[in-house]
Amino acid sequence: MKRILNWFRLRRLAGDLDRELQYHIDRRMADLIHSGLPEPEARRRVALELGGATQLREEVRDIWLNRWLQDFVHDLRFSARSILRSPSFTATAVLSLALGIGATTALYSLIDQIVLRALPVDHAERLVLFDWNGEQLAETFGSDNLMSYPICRDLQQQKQFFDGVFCCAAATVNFSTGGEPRLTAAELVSGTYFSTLGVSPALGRLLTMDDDQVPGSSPVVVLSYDFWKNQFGAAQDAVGRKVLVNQHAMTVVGVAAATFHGIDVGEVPSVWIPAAMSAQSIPGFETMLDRRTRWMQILGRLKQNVSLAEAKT
Amino acid sequence: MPSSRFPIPQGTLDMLILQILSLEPAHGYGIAQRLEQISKSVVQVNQGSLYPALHRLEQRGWLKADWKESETGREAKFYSLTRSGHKQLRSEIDSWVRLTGAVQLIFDEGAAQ
Repeated sequence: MKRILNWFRLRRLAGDLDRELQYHIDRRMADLIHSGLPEPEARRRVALELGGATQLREEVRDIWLNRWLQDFVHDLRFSARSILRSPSFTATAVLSLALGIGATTALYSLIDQIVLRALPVDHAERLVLFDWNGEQLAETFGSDNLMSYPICRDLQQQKQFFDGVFCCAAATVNFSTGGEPRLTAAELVSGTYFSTLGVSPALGRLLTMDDDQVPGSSPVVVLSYDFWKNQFGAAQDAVGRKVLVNQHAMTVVGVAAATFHGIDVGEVPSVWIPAAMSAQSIPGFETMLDRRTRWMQILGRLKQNVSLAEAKT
Repeated sequence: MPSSRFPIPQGTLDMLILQILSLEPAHGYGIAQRLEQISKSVVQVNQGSLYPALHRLEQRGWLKADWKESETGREAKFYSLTRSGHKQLRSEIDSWVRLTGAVQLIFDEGAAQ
Protein backbone atom coordinates (compact mmCIF):
# COMPACT_ATOMS: atom_id res chain seq x y z
CA MET A 1 0.00 0.00 0.00
CA LYS A 2 2.69 2.36 1.11
CA ARG A 3 4.68 1.48 -1.97
CA ILE A 4 1.83 2.33 -4.30
CA LEU A 5 1.30 5.54 -2.42
CA ASN A 6 4.97 6.40 -2.76
CA TRP A 7 4.89 5.65 -6.44
CA PHE A 8 2.09 8.19 -6.86
CA ARG A 9 3.91 10.63 -4.63
CA LEU A 10 7.04 10.16 -6.69
CA ARG A 11 5.18 11.00 -9.87
CA ARG A 12 3.61 14.04 -8.31
CA LEU A 13 6.98 15.07 -6.98
CA ALA A 14 8.59 14.84 -10.42
CA GLY A 15 5.85 16.99 -11.94
CA ASP A 16 6.14 19.43 -9.08
CA LEU A 17 9.88 19.78 -9.44
CA ASP A 18 9.63 20.27 -13.21
CA ARG A 19 7.18 23.09 -12.67
CA GLU A 20 9.36 24.64 -10.02
CA LEU A 21 12.45 24.51 -12.19
CA GLN A 22 10.60 25.79 -15.23
CA TYR A 23 9.52 28.82 -13.23
CA HIS A 24 13.12 29.45 -12.25
CA ILE A 25 14.38 29.05 -15.81
CA ASP A 26 11.75 31.37 -17.27
CA ARG A 27 12.33 34.08 -14.68
CA ARG A 28 16.10 33.89 -15.06
CA MET A 29 15.86 34.01 -18.84
CA ALA A 30 13.59 37.05 -18.69
CA ASP A 31 15.94 38.84 -16.29
CA LEU A 32 19.04 38.06 -18.34
CA ILE A 33 17.39 39.17 -21.60
CA HIS A 34 16.17 42.29 -19.83
CA SER A 35 19.76 43.11 -18.85
CA GLY A 36 20.73 43.03 -22.54
CA LEU A 37 21.90 39.49 -23.09
CA PRO A 38 20.90 37.90 -26.43
CA GLU A 39 18.47 34.99 -26.05
CA PRO A 40 20.80 32.11 -27.07
CA GLU A 41 23.45 33.38 -24.70
CA ALA A 42 20.88 33.72 -21.90
CA ARG A 43 19.66 30.18 -22.50
CA ARG A 44 23.23 28.86 -22.34
CA ARG A 45 23.88 30.75 -19.12
CA VAL A 46 20.75 29.44 -17.40
CA ALA A 47 21.56 25.86 -18.35
CA LEU A 48 25.07 26.29 -17.01
CA GLU A 49 23.87 27.76 -13.73
CA LEU A 50 21.40 24.99 -13.06
CA GLY A 51 23.72 22.19 -14.02
CA GLY A 52 22.36 18.97 -15.48
CA ALA A 53 18.57 18.88 -15.17
CA THR A 54 18.55 15.08 -14.98
CA GLN A 55 21.10 15.02 -12.22
CA LEU A 56 19.14 17.63 -10.32
CA ARG A 57 15.94 15.61 -10.60
CA GLU A 58 17.65 12.45 -9.41
CA GLU A 59 19.19 14.22 -6.49
CA VAL A 60 15.84 15.59 -5.33
CA ARG A 61 14.13 12.25 -5.86
CA ASP A 62 16.76 10.48 -3.76
CA ILE A 63 16.17 12.93 -0.94
CA TRP A 64 12.50 11.97 -0.78
CA LEU A 65 12.99 8.26 -1.38
CA ASN A 66 15.42 8.20 1.47
CA ARG A 67 12.87 9.89 3.68
CA TRP A 68 10.11 7.45 2.79
CA LEU A 69 12.40 4.52 3.36
CA GLN A 70 13.22 5.86 6.80
CA ASP A 71 9.54 6.32 7.54
CA PHE A 72 8.86 2.77 6.49
CA VAL A 73 11.61 1.35 8.67
CA HIS A 74 10.38 3.48 11.52
CA ASP A 75 6.81 2.16 11.08
CA LEU A 76 8.13 -1.36 10.98
CA ARG A 77 10.08 -0.93 14.18
CA PHE A 78 7.13 0.72 15.84
CA SER A 79 4.82 -2.17 14.94
CA ALA A 80 7.32 -4.74 16.11
CA ARG A 81 7.66 -2.95 19.42
CA SER A 82 3.89 -2.64 19.84
CA ILE A 83 3.44 -6.32 19.14
CA LEU A 84 6.08 -7.29 21.67
CA ARG A 85 4.78 -4.87 24.26
CA SER A 86 1.26 -6.36 24.37
CA PRO A 87 1.47 -10.04 23.45
CA SER A 88 -2.00 -10.82 24.79
CA PHE A 89 -3.58 -8.15 22.64
CA THR A 90 -1.61 -9.39 19.65
CA ALA A 91 -2.69 -12.97 20.31
CA THR A 92 -6.31 -11.87 20.55
CA ALA A 93 -6.07 -9.90 17.32
CA VAL A 94 -4.36 -12.72 15.46
CA LEU A 95 -6.86 -15.25 16.77
CA SER A 96 -9.80 -13.05 15.78
CA LEU A 97 -8.40 -12.63 12.32
CA ALA A 98 -7.71 -16.35 12.00
CA LEU A 99 -11.22 -17.26 13.11
CA GLY A 100 -12.77 -14.65 10.88
CA ILE A 101 -10.83 -15.76 7.85
CA GLY A 102 -11.50 -19.40 8.68
CA ALA A 103 -15.24 -18.87 9.04
CA THR A 104 -15.41 -16.89 5.84
CA THR A 105 -13.46 -19.51 3.94
CA ALA A 106 -15.68 -22.28 5.30
CA LEU A 107 -18.81 -20.40 4.28
CA TYR A 108 -17.46 -19.72 0.83
CA SER A 109 -16.58 -23.39 0.38
CA LEU A 110 -20.10 -24.36 1.36
CA ILE A 111 -21.73 -21.82 -0.93
CA ASP A 112 -19.39 -22.95 -3.68
CA GLN A 113 -20.63 -26.54 -3.30
CA ILE A 114 -24.31 -25.76 -2.88
CA VAL A 115 -24.84 -22.90 -5.26
CA LEU A 116 -22.06 -22.88 -7.76
CA ARG A 117 -21.60 -26.57 -8.32
CA ALA A 118 -25.22 -27.55 -7.64
CA LEU A 119 -25.85 -31.08 -8.80
CA PRO A 120 -23.63 -31.96 -11.70
CA VAL A 121 -26.34 -33.99 -13.37
CA ASP A 122 -28.92 -33.54 -16.11
CA HIS A 123 -31.95 -31.46 -15.13
CA ALA A 124 -31.30 -31.56 -11.42
CA GLU A 125 -34.53 -29.62 -10.83
CA ARG A 126 -36.60 -32.65 -11.81
CA LEU A 127 -35.05 -34.89 -9.17
CA VAL A 128 -37.23 -35.58 -6.14
CA LEU A 129 -36.62 -37.39 -2.89
CA PHE A 130 -39.20 -39.92 -1.74
CA ASP A 131 -40.58 -39.54 1.75
CA TRP A 132 -43.02 -41.47 3.86
CA ASN A 133 -46.53 -40.28 4.32
CA GLY A 134 -48.07 -41.44 7.56
CA GLU A 135 -47.03 -43.11 10.75
CA GLN A 136 -43.64 -44.58 11.33
CA LEU A 137 -44.10 -48.31 11.17
CA ALA A 138 -40.72 -49.87 11.37
CA GLU A 139 -37.29 -49.34 12.73
CA THR A 140 -35.26 -46.78 10.81
CA PHE A 141 -31.67 -45.65 10.65
CA GLY A 142 -32.44 -42.31 12.15
CA SER A 143 -33.83 -40.42 9.20
CA ASP A 144 -37.49 -40.21 8.22
CA ASN A 145 -37.10 -40.56 4.50
CA LEU A 146 -35.31 -43.89 4.45
CA MET A 147 -36.87 -46.79 2.55
CA SER A 148 -36.11 -50.42 2.07
CA TYR A 149 -34.48 -51.81 -1.01
CA PRO A 150 -37.53 -53.82 -2.20
CA ILE A 151 -39.62 -50.63 -2.21
CA CYS A 152 -36.98 -49.08 -4.41
CA ARG A 153 -37.27 -51.99 -6.80
CA ASP A 154 -41.04 -51.65 -6.86
CA LEU A 155 -40.80 -47.94 -7.59
CA GLN A 156 -38.33 -48.59 -10.38
CA GLN A 157 -41.03 -50.60 -12.15
CA GLN A 158 -43.62 -47.88 -12.37
CA LYS A 159 -43.48 -45.60 -15.37
CA GLN A 160 -46.39 -43.26 -14.74
CA PHE A 161 -44.69 -40.35 -13.02
CA PHE A 162 -40.99 -41.01 -13.29
CA ASP A 163 -38.44 -41.39 -16.00
CA GLY A 164 -36.30 -43.16 -13.50
CA VAL A 165 -36.03 -44.05 -9.84
CA PHE A 166 -32.91 -44.97 -7.97
CA CYS A 167 -31.82 -45.51 -4.42
CA CYS A 168 -28.58 -45.16 -2.58
CA ALA A 169 -27.05 -45.46 0.86
CA ALA A 170 -23.72 -44.23 2.16
CA ALA A 171 -21.32 -46.73 3.67
CA THR A 172 -17.71 -46.84 4.73
CA VAL A 173 -15.79 -49.82 3.44
CA ASN A 174 -12.33 -51.27 3.89
CA PHE A 175 -10.90 -50.72 0.48
CA SER A 176 -7.64 -52.19 -0.74
CA THR A 177 -5.93 -52.05 -4.10
CA GLY A 178 -3.49 -54.74 -3.04
CA GLY A 179 -1.68 -52.93 -0.29
CA GLU A 180 -2.84 -51.75 3.09
CA PRO A 181 -6.65 -51.55 3.25
CA ARG A 182 -8.09 -48.13 3.97
CA LEU A 183 -11.42 -46.87 5.20
CA THR A 184 -13.04 -45.40 2.13
CA ALA A 185 -16.32 -43.58 1.59
CA ALA A 186 -18.58 -45.68 -0.59
CA GLU A 187 -22.13 -45.46 -1.82
CA LEU A 188 -24.35 -48.48 -2.35
CA VAL A 189 -26.57 -47.69 -5.31
CA SER A 190 -29.26 -49.31 -7.37
CA GLY A 191 -28.50 -50.14 -10.98
CA THR A 192 -30.54 -47.17 -12.08
CA TYR A 193 -28.41 -44.66 -10.19
CA PHE A 194 -26.09 -43.43 -12.93
CA SER A 195 -28.55 -43.69 -15.81
CA THR A 196 -31.24 -41.72 -13.93
CA LEU A 197 -28.78 -39.03 -12.88
CA GLY A 198 -27.42 -38.86 -16.40
CA VAL A 199 -23.81 -39.25 -15.38
CA SER A 200 -21.36 -40.43 -18.00
CA PRO A 201 -18.18 -42.44 -17.46
CA ALA A 202 -14.70 -40.94 -17.76
CA LEU A 203 -13.31 -44.41 -18.28
CA GLY A 204 -14.85 -47.87 -18.75
CA ARG A 205 -18.55 -48.12 -17.90
CA LEU A 206 -20.83 -47.21 -15.02
CA LEU A 207 -23.17 -49.46 -13.05
CA THR A 208 -26.30 -50.75 -14.80
CA MET A 209 -29.34 -52.81 -13.90
CA ASP A 210 -27.35 -55.92 -14.77
CA ASP A 211 -25.04 -55.20 -11.85
CA ASP A 212 -27.95 -55.02 -9.46
CA GLN A 213 -29.94 -58.24 -9.85
CA VAL A 214 -29.07 -61.27 -7.75
CA PRO A 215 -27.56 -60.40 -4.36
CA GLY A 216 -23.85 -61.12 -4.23
CA SER A 217 -23.52 -61.95 -7.91
CA SER A 218 -21.99 -58.77 -9.29
CA PRO A 219 -18.68 -57.90 -7.61
CA VAL A 220 -17.97 -54.67 -9.47
CA VAL A 221 -17.16 -51.11 -8.41
CA VAL A 222 -17.03 -47.71 -10.08
CA LEU A 223 -14.44 -45.21 -8.91
CA SER A 224 -14.89 -41.48 -8.47
CA TYR A 225 -12.66 -39.41 -10.71
CA ASP A 226 -10.67 -37.92 -7.84
CA PHE A 227 -10.19 -41.30 -6.20
CA TRP A 228 -8.99 -42.75 -9.50
CA LYS A 229 -6.56 -39.87 -9.89
CA ASN A 230 -5.21 -40.01 -6.34
CA GLN A 231 -5.22 -43.73 -5.60
CA PHE A 232 -4.71 -45.16 -9.06
CA GLY A 233 -2.47 -42.42 -10.43
CA ALA A 234 -5.06 -41.89 -13.17
CA ALA A 235 -3.91 -45.17 -14.69
CA GLN A 236 -5.58 -45.87 -18.02
CA ASP A 237 -5.59 -49.59 -17.25
CA ALA A 238 -7.41 -49.16 -13.93
CA VAL A 239 -10.48 -50.76 -15.48
CA GLY A 240 -10.31 -54.50 -14.93
CA ARG A 241 -8.12 -54.29 -11.87
CA LYS A 242 -9.04 -56.38 -8.86
CA VAL A 243 -9.68 -54.62 -5.58
CA LEU A 244 -10.74 -55.81 -2.14
CA VAL A 245 -13.87 -54.46 -0.48
CA ASN A 246 -14.01 -55.73 3.08
CA GLN A 247 -11.90 -58.69 1.91
CA HIS A 248 -14.29 -59.47 -0.96
CA ALA A 249 -12.65 -59.37 -4.36
CA MET A 250 -14.30 -56.98 -6.78
CA THR A 251 -13.44 -55.61 -10.21
CA VAL A 252 -13.14 -51.99 -11.23
CA VAL A 253 -15.38 -51.50 -14.24
CA GLY A 254 -15.18 -47.76 -14.71
CA VAL A 255 -14.54 -44.22 -13.52
CA ALA A 256 -17.28 -41.61 -13.18
CA ALA A 257 -17.09 -38.22 -14.88
CA ALA A 258 -14.75 -35.69 -13.23
CA THR A 259 -17.59 -33.29 -12.42
CA PHE A 260 -19.67 -35.86 -10.53
CA HIS A 261 -19.10 -35.92 -6.78
CA GLY A 262 -22.19 -37.79 -5.63
CA ILE A 263 -25.53 -36.28 -4.76
CA ASP A 264 -24.94 -35.30 -1.15
CA VAL A 265 -23.33 -31.96 -0.44
CA GLY A 266 -20.18 -32.45 1.55
CA GLU A 267 -20.30 -36.23 1.32
CA VAL A 268 -18.20 -37.34 -1.57
CA PRO A 269 -18.07 -41.09 -2.21
CA SER A 270 -14.85 -42.51 -3.57
CA VAL A 271 -16.44 -45.73 -4.89
CA TRP A 272 -19.88 -46.81 -5.96
CA ILE A 273 -20.97 -50.39 -5.35
CA PRO A 274 -24.16 -52.07 -6.59
CA ALA A 275 -26.82 -52.39 -3.89
CA ALA A 276 -26.92 -56.07 -4.68
CA MET A 277 -23.48 -56.30 -3.07
CA SER A 278 -24.60 -54.72 0.21
CA ALA A 279 -24.03 -57.90 2.20
CA GLN A 280 -20.37 -57.81 1.15
CA SER A 281 -20.05 -54.05 1.65
CA ILE A 282 -21.70 -53.75 5.04
CA PRO A 283 -20.43 -56.51 7.34
CA GLY A 284 -23.26 -58.42 9.02
CA PHE A 285 -25.94 -56.87 6.84
CA GLU A 286 -28.09 -59.70 5.55
CA THR A 287 -31.52 -58.10 5.33
CA MET A 288 -31.27 -56.28 2.07
CA LEU A 289 -34.41 -57.85 0.68
CA ASP A 290 -36.38 -57.32 3.87
CA ARG A 291 -39.14 -54.79 3.21
CA ARG A 292 -39.00 -53.49 6.74
CA THR A 293 -35.33 -52.69 6.83
CA ARG A 294 -35.24 -49.10 5.78
CA TRP A 295 -31.74 -47.93 5.00
CA MET A 296 -31.77 -46.27 1.59
CA GLN A 297 -32.78 -42.94 0.19
CA ILE A 298 -34.93 -43.19 -2.91
CA LEU A 299 -34.86 -40.47 -5.52
CA GLY A 300 -36.74 -40.19 -8.76
CA ARG A 301 -36.65 -38.14 -11.90
CA LEU A 302 -40.04 -36.69 -12.69
CA LYS A 303 -41.33 -37.04 -16.21
CA GLN A 304 -41.31 -33.82 -18.22
CA ASN A 305 -45.06 -33.28 -18.00
CA VAL A 306 -45.58 -34.39 -14.42
CA SER A 307 -45.58 -31.83 -11.67
CA LEU A 308 -44.43 -32.50 -8.14
CA ALA A 309 -48.00 -32.07 -6.88
CA GLU A 310 -49.32 -34.71 -9.24
CA ALA A 311 -46.67 -37.19 -8.26
CA LYS A 312 -47.44 -36.63 -4.60
CA THR A 313 -50.98 -37.92 -4.86
CA MET B 1 34.18 36.42 -12.82
CA PRO B 2 34.40 32.97 -11.17
CA SER B 3 37.90 33.78 -9.98
CA SER B 4 36.69 36.65 -7.80
CA ARG B 5 34.06 34.51 -6.05
CA PHE B 6 34.60 31.42 -3.96
CA PRO B 7 32.16 28.52 -3.71
CA ILE B 8 29.93 28.47 -0.71
CA PRO B 9 31.29 26.35 2.16
CA GLN B 10 29.67 22.99 2.68
CA GLY B 11 26.75 23.16 5.07
CA THR B 12 26.38 26.91 5.09
CA LEU B 13 23.92 26.97 2.18
CA ASP B 14 21.22 25.44 4.39
CA MET B 15 21.80 28.05 7.03
CA LEU B 16 21.66 30.90 4.49
CA ILE B 17 18.39 29.58 3.04
CA LEU B 18 16.86 29.36 6.51
CA GLN B 19 18.06 32.89 7.24
CA ILE B 20 16.55 34.29 4.03
CA LEU B 21 13.25 32.54 4.59
CA SER B 22 13.09 33.68 8.23
CA LEU B 23 12.41 37.19 6.90
CA GLU B 24 9.60 36.24 4.51
CA PRO B 25 8.39 33.30 2.37
CA ALA B 26 9.99 33.11 -1.07
CA HIS B 27 10.19 30.89 -4.14
CA GLY B 28 13.36 29.25 -5.40
CA TYR B 29 14.24 31.99 -7.85
CA GLY B 30 13.61 34.64 -5.23
CA ILE B 31 15.95 32.87 -2.84
CA ALA B 32 18.61 32.65 -5.54
CA GLN B 33 18.36 36.40 -6.20
CA ARG B 34 18.42 37.19 -2.49
CA LEU B 35 21.52 35.03 -2.04
CA GLU B 36 23.22 36.95 -4.82
CA GLN B 37 22.34 40.31 -3.27
CA ILE B 38 23.16 39.41 0.32
CA SER B 39 26.47 37.84 -0.52
CA LYS B 40 27.25 40.91 -2.69
CA SER B 41 28.52 38.62 -5.44
CA VAL B 42 31.24 37.34 -3.17
CA VAL B 43 29.86 33.89 -2.59
CA GLN B 44 29.05 31.77 -5.60
CA VAL B 45 25.93 29.68 -5.20
CA ASN B 46 25.50 26.99 -7.78
CA GLN B 47 21.80 27.14 -8.49
CA GLY B 48 21.87 23.45 -9.23
CA SER B 49 22.52 22.83 -5.55
CA LEU B 50 19.85 25.27 -4.37
CA TYR B 51 16.85 23.08 -5.23
CA PRO B 52 18.13 19.84 -3.68
CA ALA B 53 18.90 21.90 -0.57
CA LEU B 54 15.35 23.29 -0.50
CA HIS B 55 13.86 19.83 -0.81
CA ARG B 56 16.18 18.45 1.85
CA LEU B 57 15.11 21.17 4.26
CA GLU B 58 11.47 20.59 3.40
CA GLN B 59 11.86 16.88 3.96
CA ARG B 60 13.37 17.51 7.38
CA GLY B 61 10.35 19.56 8.29
CA TRP B 62 12.17 22.88 8.58
CA LEU B 63 10.45 24.30 5.53
CA LYS B 64 6.97 23.97 4.18
CA ALA B 65 6.03 24.66 0.59
CA ASP B 66 2.86 26.01 -1.03
CA TRP B 67 2.01 26.86 -4.59
CA LYS B 68 1.00 30.50 -4.63
CA GLU B 69 0.69 33.27 -7.17
CA SER B 70 3.99 35.08 -7.54
CA GLU B 71 4.69 38.74 -8.29
CA THR B 72 4.53 38.01 -12.04
CA GLY B 73 1.05 36.51 -11.68
CA ARG B 74 2.27 33.01 -12.38
CA GLU B 75 2.08 30.24 -9.78
CA ALA B 76 5.34 29.49 -8.02
CA LYS B 77 6.33 27.21 -5.21
CA PHE B 78 6.80 29.37 -2.12
CA TYR B 79 8.85 28.12 0.78
CA SER B 80 8.40 29.32 4.33
CA LEU B 81 10.01 28.49 7.66
CA THR B 82 8.23 26.15 10.06
CA ARG B 83 8.47 26.41 13.83
CA SER B 84 11.20 23.77 13.94
CA GLY B 85 12.89 25.60 11.05
CA HIS B 86 13.15 28.72 13.22
CA LYS B 87 14.61 26.63 16.01
CA GLN B 88 17.09 25.02 13.64
CA LEU B 89 18.18 28.43 12.36
CA ARG B 90 18.84 29.69 15.89
CA SER B 91 20.96 26.68 16.77
CA GLU B 92 22.88 26.92 13.48
CA ILE B 93 23.61 30.59 14.00
CA ASP B 94 24.72 29.78 17.51
CA SER B 95 27.15 27.09 16.46
CA TRP B 96 28.36 29.23 13.58
CA VAL B 97 29.19 32.07 15.93
CA ARG B 98 31.01 29.72 18.25
CA LEU B 99 32.96 28.14 15.38
CA THR B 100 34.03 31.43 13.81
CA GLY B 101 34.84 32.77 17.26
CA ALA B 102 37.08 29.82 17.94
CA VAL B 103 38.77 30.10 14.56
CA GLN B 104 39.26 33.83 15.12
CA LEU B 105 40.81 33.07 18.49
CA ILE B 106 43.33 30.75 16.89
CA PHE B 107 44.22 33.35 14.26
CA ASP B 108 44.58 36.04 16.93
CA GLU B 109 46.92 33.82 18.88
CA GLY B 110 49.04 33.29 15.76
CA ALA B 111 49.19 37.04 15.16
CA ALA B 112 50.24 37.73 18.75
CA GLN B 113 53.31 35.54 18.56
